[in-house]
Amino acid sequence: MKIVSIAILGKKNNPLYVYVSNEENKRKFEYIIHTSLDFFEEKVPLISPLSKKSTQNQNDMYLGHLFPTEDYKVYGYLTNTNYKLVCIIDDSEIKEQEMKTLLNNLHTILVDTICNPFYITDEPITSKTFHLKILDLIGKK
Amino acid sequence: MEIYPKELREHPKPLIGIIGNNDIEEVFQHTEFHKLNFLHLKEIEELPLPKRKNILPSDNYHLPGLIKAKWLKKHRDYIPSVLINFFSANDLINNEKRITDEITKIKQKTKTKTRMYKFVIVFLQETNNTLTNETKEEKLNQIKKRIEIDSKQGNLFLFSLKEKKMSSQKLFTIINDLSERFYREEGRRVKKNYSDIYSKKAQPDLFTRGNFKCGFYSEARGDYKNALKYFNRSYKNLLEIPKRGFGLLEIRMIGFVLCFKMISLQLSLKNIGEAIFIFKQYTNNSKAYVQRGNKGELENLIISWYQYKLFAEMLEKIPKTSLSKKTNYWESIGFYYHAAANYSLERKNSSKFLIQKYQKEFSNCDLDSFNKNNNMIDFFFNIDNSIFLCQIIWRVRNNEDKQLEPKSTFKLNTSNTELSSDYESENDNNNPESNSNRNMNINNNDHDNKKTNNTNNKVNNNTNKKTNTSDKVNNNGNDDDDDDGHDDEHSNVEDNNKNDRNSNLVLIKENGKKKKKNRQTISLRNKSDKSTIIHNSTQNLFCFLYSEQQFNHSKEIIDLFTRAYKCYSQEAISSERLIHSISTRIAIAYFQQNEFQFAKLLFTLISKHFRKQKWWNELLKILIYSLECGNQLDDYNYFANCALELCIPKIGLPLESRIIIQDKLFKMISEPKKNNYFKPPIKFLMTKDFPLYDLIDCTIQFTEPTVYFNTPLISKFSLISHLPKAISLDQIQILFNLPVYDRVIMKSPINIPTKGKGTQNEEELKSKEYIITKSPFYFPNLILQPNKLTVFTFQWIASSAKKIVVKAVRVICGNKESGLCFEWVKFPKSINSPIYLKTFPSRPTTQILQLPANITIDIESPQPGLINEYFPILIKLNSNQDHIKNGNFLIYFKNHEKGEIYHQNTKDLLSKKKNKIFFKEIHPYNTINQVLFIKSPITGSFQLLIYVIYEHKLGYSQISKTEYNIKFSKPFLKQYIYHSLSKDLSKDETTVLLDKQFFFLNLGLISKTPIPININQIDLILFDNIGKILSKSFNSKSGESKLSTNNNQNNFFKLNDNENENGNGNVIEHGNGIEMEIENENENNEENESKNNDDNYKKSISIKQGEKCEVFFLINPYKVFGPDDNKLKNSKILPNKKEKKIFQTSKKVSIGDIKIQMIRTNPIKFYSYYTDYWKKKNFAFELTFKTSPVEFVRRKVTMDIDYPSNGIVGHPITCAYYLHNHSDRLQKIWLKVEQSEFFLYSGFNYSELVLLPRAIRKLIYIFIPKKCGKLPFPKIQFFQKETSQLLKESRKNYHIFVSPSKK
Repeated sequence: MKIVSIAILGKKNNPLYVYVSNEENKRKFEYIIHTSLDFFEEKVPLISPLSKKSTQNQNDMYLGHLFPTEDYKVYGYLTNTNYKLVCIIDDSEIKEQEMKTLLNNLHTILVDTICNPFYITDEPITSKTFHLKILDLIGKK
Repeated sequence: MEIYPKELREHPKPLIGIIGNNDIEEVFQHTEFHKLNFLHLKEIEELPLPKRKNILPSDNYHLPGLIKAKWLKKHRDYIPSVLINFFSANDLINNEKRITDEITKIKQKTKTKTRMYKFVIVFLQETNNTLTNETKEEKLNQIKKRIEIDSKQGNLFLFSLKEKKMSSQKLFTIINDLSERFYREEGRRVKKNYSDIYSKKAQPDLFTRGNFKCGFYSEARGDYKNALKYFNRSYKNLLEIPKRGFGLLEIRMIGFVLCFKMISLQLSLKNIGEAIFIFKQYTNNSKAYVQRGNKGELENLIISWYQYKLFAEMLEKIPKTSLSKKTNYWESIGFYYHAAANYSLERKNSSKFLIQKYQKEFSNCDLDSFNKNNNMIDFFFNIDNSIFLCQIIWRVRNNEDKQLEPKSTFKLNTSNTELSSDYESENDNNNPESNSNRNMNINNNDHDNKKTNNTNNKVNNNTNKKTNTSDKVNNNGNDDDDDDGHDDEHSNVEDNNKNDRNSNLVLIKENGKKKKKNRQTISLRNKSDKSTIIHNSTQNLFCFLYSEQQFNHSKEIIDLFTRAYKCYSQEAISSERLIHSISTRIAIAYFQQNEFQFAKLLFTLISKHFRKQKWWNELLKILIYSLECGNQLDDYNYFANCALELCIPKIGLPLESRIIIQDKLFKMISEPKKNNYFKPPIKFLMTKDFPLYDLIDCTIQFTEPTVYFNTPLISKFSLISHLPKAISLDQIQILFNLPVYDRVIMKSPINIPTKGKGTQNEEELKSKEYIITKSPFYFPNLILQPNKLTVFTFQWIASSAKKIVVKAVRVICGNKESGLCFEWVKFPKSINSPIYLKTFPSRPTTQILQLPANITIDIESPQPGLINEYFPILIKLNSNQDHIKNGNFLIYFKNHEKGEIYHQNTKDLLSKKKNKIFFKEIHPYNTINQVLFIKSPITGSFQLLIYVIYEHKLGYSQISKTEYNIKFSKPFLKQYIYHSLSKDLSKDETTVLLDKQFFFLNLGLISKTPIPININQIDLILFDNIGKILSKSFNSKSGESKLSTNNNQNNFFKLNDNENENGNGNVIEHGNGIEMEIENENENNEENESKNNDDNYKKSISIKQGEKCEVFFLINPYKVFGPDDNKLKNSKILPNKKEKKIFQTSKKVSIGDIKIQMIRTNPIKFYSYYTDYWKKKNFAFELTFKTSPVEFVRRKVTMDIDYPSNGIVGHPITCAYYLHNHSDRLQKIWLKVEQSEFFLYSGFNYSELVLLPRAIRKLIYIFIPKKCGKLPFPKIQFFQKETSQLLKESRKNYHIFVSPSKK
């Protein structure tokens, strides 16, 4: 599994943090991340507590595989506070549990960052520590 | 789709060879013949025969190429499965020998060592033939036996032209069976060869080829399931080929062919899901062969682009019902078009990269030779070159990137030239000489081949001279032949054999039998040829790049993205943002194609979405493109719009770029355009985050934090322009969060020169005229001068009576014509004190309002008004100076819900909707009088709001408002009633003890009107003879006691006292009522007396405003409690606890009606036109109302005492106590006697008595006085046992005067 991009989207679907392994393809990944919001919206009613059709575990914020592209796979994670975590990997086989763990860890890092009193809510995350943690998470540090 | 090779696109049909040029159209009339393909051969010699080669099975043998270029075409177009020859049926009899010879020849020709052609000899029987069929059948059988024709190989058929249909059907069955047999046998043979000779694991390439061929044969005979099986096996074998063993691209390309073969078969079987799965699997597998992200991977990108596009087109051709419900992204056709478009984009970039890299060489190349070959893809997928796209591309790569040169795992020739020999040979086919040979043998119908060859001739003209004849290169050992170990001469797809491990010696081998063809000798391919081949490869590269350069990438990208857009739009999967993303790509593609107008339109639409979503990075890119669009189109306004937005910090434009854009913008603004002021259609946000907009600064000031309802809120709005030129504005709109302020009074704007920050001259601000209008309002040609402060002062009038808090004020300034508009929002955070609007009850205002237009309003009316009568209001408008005539004066009324307003002349009701009257002009020094009437059905006071508005063409320009309080009342009197037993009138008792039998009812009247009221008569009519009025009297207590006729201080009158008892009584009994007359204060008392005596009925009491008049009635209520009130439910004598409360002790009733008659006589001084009306309404008015209820109380047991007034010391005195039980039950009484020092007495100190119902008991005590003087009686107290209440007497202390005893 090669993580090519990680993105954190805010409550209002605005990008807070976008990591791209290859800067040349940044634009392409941004399109993919933006498109992934469609699939978040599609999947959110299924796990909404208000929805009667809820089939998944409501506490499970991991949305799984959102959609494929010709070269990549996009995975999603929706926090209870409506932050959206997007992870794009290359089109190789991956265990769901691995991805779940990765996104859970990402969520933990995000929570730590948001709890920082110097962070302004819904503003882009510019913390270097956060960036280093992300690099550490995906094994690029 | 069209460029996809025909042999791959369509399922193969069995090929039938027809020998000779007989007119045989009649024979193939059966409809099922379209399932077959036909090949015309002039004679049997043209039948392609397999090459004779030595097959040396070896485990180390590997193919130089996976599938040969012409194999598919060869078997589709050149190698027939069944041969048909036609003879006349007559020849069976006449020329039997010739026929026998011909059949023998055909039989020998078709039966080769490795391939068993089938044949059918058809004898056409003419209609006029005299011989019977039976005779001919016999002849046929004889020939069959003689020649020994095996039915598996061929057949003889007598075709009767009489029965064409039946014969045709039979013939088709025979041909079809033989054809199927042929392909089956071919398949078995191939399968047997490979399974017997080669190792599956070690030589997967051979098995790939073998299974592919088996698949083809199965497909040719219509067995799609078997074909799928073989193609699948072939594909699996392909994947097992070492990835560096062959050209990666070739593997990929063969995989592509196999995959699409399987997909087309699955789609034919309507297994769409399976087809998608195969494609998905193929794309995943093919990624192993591709190094993504490398710009040199142009060929891979082309294949990827093509495969996605092709698959999308294949899916699109399926009926829509099969793909109606999209649940998966992979099922979406748009996805494939989208992917194809993405690859197309990458392909474009890659080709650019390569062209730049080889720019020098490329420029020196003779590009003219490529001109005719505009589209390389067409070239690749040309019928002749279909499968070998990979070979050409591979060659390009081979020269391009030697690092990726495949290393032979089987240690073949390590040189590129050797490995690529197969491809070289294919390429060599393009040379003119080989083509000439080929064209001699191949069917002449192959026009495309010719064209291609011709074009390629030019390309290779110079380079292939040395190698063009070296097509056939055979190795000593392993034969790189067709899998069946031979090749067909006539197909001219010569194998190039190589693979000599130890030496580069290439043997020249004359291929086959050189009969009719001018075969060229095969040149040696040694190391000396390498440079030539490389040169050839380079030439191919340039050819390739040239075609890429000529290819319209943008058009292709737009086409694919547009298709994806359409598919996504039509499909059910959620794709809102995806569509926006695709739209952006389309817009960029249009931009790159220099279609700026359309690109601009698209960018404008898309940017809204990203702006809304706050995707600033995306917006930034779009804005940059938009900016360039504006620049290219010379659309300065659009350019400025984009430039301004780009300068917003949050957009994220780098500082350097921002400075450049700002410079451009300022330069553009400074340039004079048609007008001398700047009119950009800019919509820019005036926010804090927009520092560039210091160009125009906007502030709002509010004078008051708290505003009262109907009180103007004054605000100042200032604009400073820092632009180099003046700006034209024509509109300012100020909006609050709630639309409570719908009217605005605005002072004309003032331009103040600023020095540094603007300084305002307050005196100037106060001047000028007011304009009354509604927001938004417009300024014709208001021009903001540069560096000058323009201040507007507004007065806002709230029209709503709600409590509100102004959360934000939005100011929109704009020029309607040019579209200039900027918006500025003020939030409470930036306002020092937020504005609270409060609603207070309306305050009484003066009736005259001074207006700036020198118009005064005067309102007059009599107060109060009478209900159900027309109450007049006079409104006067005075103009002291000007003659105002250009508009209408409108008078609005509001808050008249309680009453109705009528017009003066028409008496038409002015409803709430049409509550206005208007008049047109006011002459100078003249007054307009407007009278309205208000009629109210109910009493009370309410407020009338009167708005006087001057209306002219420009709108509502002036306004005046007055509030007028109107009171309506029934009479002009206030009544109050109280009851009393004492003379103290101030004491109001409502409880009357029935024991005392009488009480006073006091009626007070106070006048509230300035008009004197004359009361004629006051009557009290008691209800149901509740009692009797014992006496009546009245008293008028005005401030100065002007009732001179009433000298009685007490003002009591006795019953039936007709004459004035005290000399001044003037009360006359009239039934139960009294008639009163009090003379007017101006009249003489004496006259009054005489008049009273003469005509009491005609006179009345006059009450002025503030005066009070009182009337007293002495009433004896003896029938308050009816007989039912004392009734017991159960007539028991003994007391019952449950019935304790039955005895009604109190009752509250109104005792009667009071009727007052009055008349109003004095005139009212008003204007003539309604005074008359007012006077007419003087009539006797009668007022009737009930008295307030009086509570009557009665007791169950009463006590009375009887004793003498004096006594003598030592002499007994008899004292009697009477106890009276009023109830219908037994009453127990406790008796307590206290000791006394003045009297002697005997008996019980404590005793209990029982009183029977309605009984009276007399208790007699005898007291003997001991002393003389005024002595108090001993206290004897009686308690009611039931309630423990002390029975009281009216007198509290009893005394007796005791005289001394006589001596």
